[in-house]
Amino acid sequence: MAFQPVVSIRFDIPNASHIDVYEQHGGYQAARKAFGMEPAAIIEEVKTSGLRGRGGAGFPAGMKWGFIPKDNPKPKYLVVNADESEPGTFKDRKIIERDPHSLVEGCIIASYAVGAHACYIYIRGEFNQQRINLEDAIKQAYAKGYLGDNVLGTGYKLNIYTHRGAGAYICGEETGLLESLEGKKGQPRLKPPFPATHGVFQCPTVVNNVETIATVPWIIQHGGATYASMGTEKAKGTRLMCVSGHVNKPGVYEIEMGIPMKTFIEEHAGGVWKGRKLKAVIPGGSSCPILTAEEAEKVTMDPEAIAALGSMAGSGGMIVIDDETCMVDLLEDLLHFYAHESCGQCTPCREGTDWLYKIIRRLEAGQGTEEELDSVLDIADNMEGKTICALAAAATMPTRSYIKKFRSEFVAHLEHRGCPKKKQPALV
Amino acid sequence: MAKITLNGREVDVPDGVNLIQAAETVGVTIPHYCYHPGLPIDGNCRMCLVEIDGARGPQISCNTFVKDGMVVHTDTPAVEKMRKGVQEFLLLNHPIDCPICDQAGECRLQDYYMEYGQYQNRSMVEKVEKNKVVDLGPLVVLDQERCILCSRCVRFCESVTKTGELVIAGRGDHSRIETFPGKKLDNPYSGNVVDVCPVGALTSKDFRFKQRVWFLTITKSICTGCANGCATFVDHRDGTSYRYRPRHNPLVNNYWMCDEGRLSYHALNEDRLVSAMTGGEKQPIGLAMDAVVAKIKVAMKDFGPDSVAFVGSAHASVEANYVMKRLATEVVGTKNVWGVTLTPDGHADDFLIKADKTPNRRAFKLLGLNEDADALKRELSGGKIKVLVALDRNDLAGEGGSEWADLLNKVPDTIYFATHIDDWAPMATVTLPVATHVEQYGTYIQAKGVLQKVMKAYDADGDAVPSYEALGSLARALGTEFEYDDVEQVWTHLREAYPDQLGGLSFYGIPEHGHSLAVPALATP
Repeated sequence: MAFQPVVSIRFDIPNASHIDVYEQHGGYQAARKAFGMEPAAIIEEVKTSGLRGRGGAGFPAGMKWGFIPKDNPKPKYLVVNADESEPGTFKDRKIIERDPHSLVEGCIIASYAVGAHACYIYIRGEFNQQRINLEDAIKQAYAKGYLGDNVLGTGYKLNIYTHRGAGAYICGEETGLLESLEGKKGQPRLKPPFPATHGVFQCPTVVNNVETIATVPWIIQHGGATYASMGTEKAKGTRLMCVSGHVNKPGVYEIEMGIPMKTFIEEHAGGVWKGRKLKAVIPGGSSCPILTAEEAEKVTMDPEAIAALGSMAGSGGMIVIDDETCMVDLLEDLLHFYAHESCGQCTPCREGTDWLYKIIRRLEAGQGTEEELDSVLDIADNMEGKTICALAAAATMPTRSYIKKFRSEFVAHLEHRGCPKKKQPALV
Repeated sequence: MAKITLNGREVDVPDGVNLIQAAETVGVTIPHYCYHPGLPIDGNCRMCLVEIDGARGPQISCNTFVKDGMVVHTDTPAVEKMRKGVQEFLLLNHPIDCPICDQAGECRLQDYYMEYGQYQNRSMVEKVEKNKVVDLGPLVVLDQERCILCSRCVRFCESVTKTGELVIAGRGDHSRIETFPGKKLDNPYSGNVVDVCPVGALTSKDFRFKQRVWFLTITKSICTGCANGCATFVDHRDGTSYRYRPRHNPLVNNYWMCDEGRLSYHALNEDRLVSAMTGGEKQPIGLAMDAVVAKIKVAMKDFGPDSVAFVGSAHASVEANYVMKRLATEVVGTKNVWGVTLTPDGHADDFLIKADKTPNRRAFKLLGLNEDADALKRELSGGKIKVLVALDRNDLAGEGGSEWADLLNKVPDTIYFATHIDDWAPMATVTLPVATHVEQYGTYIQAKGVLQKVMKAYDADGDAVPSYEALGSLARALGTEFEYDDVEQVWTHLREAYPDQLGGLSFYGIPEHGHSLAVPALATP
């Protein structure tokens, strides 16, 4: 089937965040349809659609819902991850700004499918205006009987609560989010057990990204097979891409999975700015290993193709980098972020992220040594896969790729005693 | 039992335990910082990473439980590199101030560096600075720079005392242990955080800078501060005790002890009686013993054996009370054999601290001594008792007030076996110096009826000997064959006298965690 927008269909409709406008454009029809279905049939439909999590890991959504144990007497919960903290990613913000009811409707369907009567939307603290927008939408949905003790007159009870984060990157990690939601310090949990059995308040919990949930109403309305007819063999449907950096038209664009990255950068994003050349692309958020211009020009935008180049499609946060950029400077910036955001719980990440940052900072400032540069890869190896969550890997994977693919620039910093792109070399 | 393959060797390990514990049972050590068997699992230090066939990447042993057929590797080059890596990370911002650190010698960072680290420092970056000498509470000082953030202390306060004073504040490499604003770490068990701290971050105000730990000898003992009888190590040097540390005993105290008990070791060094006294004056031990023998003989001859009374002590060992009973009944032949203690009940809680502040009151029950204080009072006021022999740290004079003091003064001759120069020592006709519980082998029966042994840490100073030895000499001087100068000799008779309760044990056969006496009367009401 030809590409048609799924998540962004109402982005350009004025006042689509008001429930009346949303309803005029087909809103809440999917929820009505869902309540006429068996929960298992909904999960089956989502499985058919091939919808994969849009938060970064890309886990099949239907399968995740299927992990919720049926025979567990504890209450079940749906938790929506609206923490959107991956640098370069700002699509969930747009959904909540422009079409919050698609998220609310998705929450209704997903909650019904997994048997949840309470749904928590954990929203990034900085998204204050967006939170107000979302809470307005939730209020409207209550007023119209889409939420509350008697959803759509079916007798099904569902309450949605919003919970503001306090600005920690790690609270985007699902178990860190659950800890924070419970009022504790946001630190990832040891796994197993997994949230499907021991989630929020130690009860069975589904944690999904905003975009994932906002896609569900369309799938229910149009059928999983319709959704699956778009995209590639393994990556079905569409996704929102955020593009920022050195492009003429940064923003959020919905694309069909598998279109060429070159087309996306040149057509959707308006090409590299200021007439400069493409140097590199961070394909899906700052945690993804970087692609060189050559790689970016031949790859297609689906997780498998990007994975084949050793990177990840991630959360769809593309950052385009022009040829005036110093990669050491960029890596320093990036590592500063991860060092700042490491929760400090486990040893390799707590100590390693800051160590890497300091080494690259020294290099950029002209104080680095060859031994230090060589040690970076070994330190990264001591961190990656040795930690409680993936934050350490989110710092080390890009680090490796920057040094591997742009090593000459790092070496130039050694030889030049600082950044060659800066006018004066740093004094040692 | 489960069958697992550990480093290529097929071994049987207990079900339901984690890999650290399982490996330990077959002699393989998996290094770890944050895991502590008495605390909830946290998995943050990453030192216990091992490789498991079929697992996605390395796994932490503390949070991996044995499954039949598991194939585990703890000795591969990859595991060695991970350990070295973690060690390097932990020392990256550590001040490495071992020469002035109190933990040196019992520090996991030091031990594991030698065992698993041994790398060349390659860090050129500045270290993170944090607070030093943070006063956490009455017993504990924190050095945030030495801390490896294993969270053992935090988990102790959360899950054991449930007081929650400590928290890890901040994020990333600026994380640090703190008390909540306005709070102090002052719960009755705060000293345990020093024991669980694997590094020099938490040190004891009481012990720090007193001794280098490698000069100390460690002896298994118990705390005699209350009837709980927490198992301890007493760490000592040259006849002086420097600290108690709790010793694991699942029947008694698990891994913990209270602060009051922890500090009670001070009494082992202070105000000790080391020579005999008569009428408050020092006297050579030989003369004092002769005087005691003479007084008992005269009383027996002039007033009959019942004129000699013996009062055991709830602060003395089972052995001392037993030998006293034998001497009294078999040698002297008196009916006046008592086990009276006047130590009043004190503060108690629902964890370890017991109201009964004597360590061995249950020995009276085992030995069947007469515990009726009022009856003893009547007997004393009747004036028929001419000689009264009282065992170690007997509290009749100290706790009995003027009423008991008057009664005791009426007795012509009192003979007191004293460990300390206490209220009674100067008052008694003859005071004989005896050893404390760390200066002798012996056993004590705690509140739940668990009989635990104490080992001798060092010889008592001066003329002090264990009470059972002194009583043995007395028996010999009174003309009998039995003599006790070795605890095992006492036990030869004890186990014959109480076969049901002691189950035929010998002293050295008493298990590590003590022996639960099968005597209902011994249980705490």
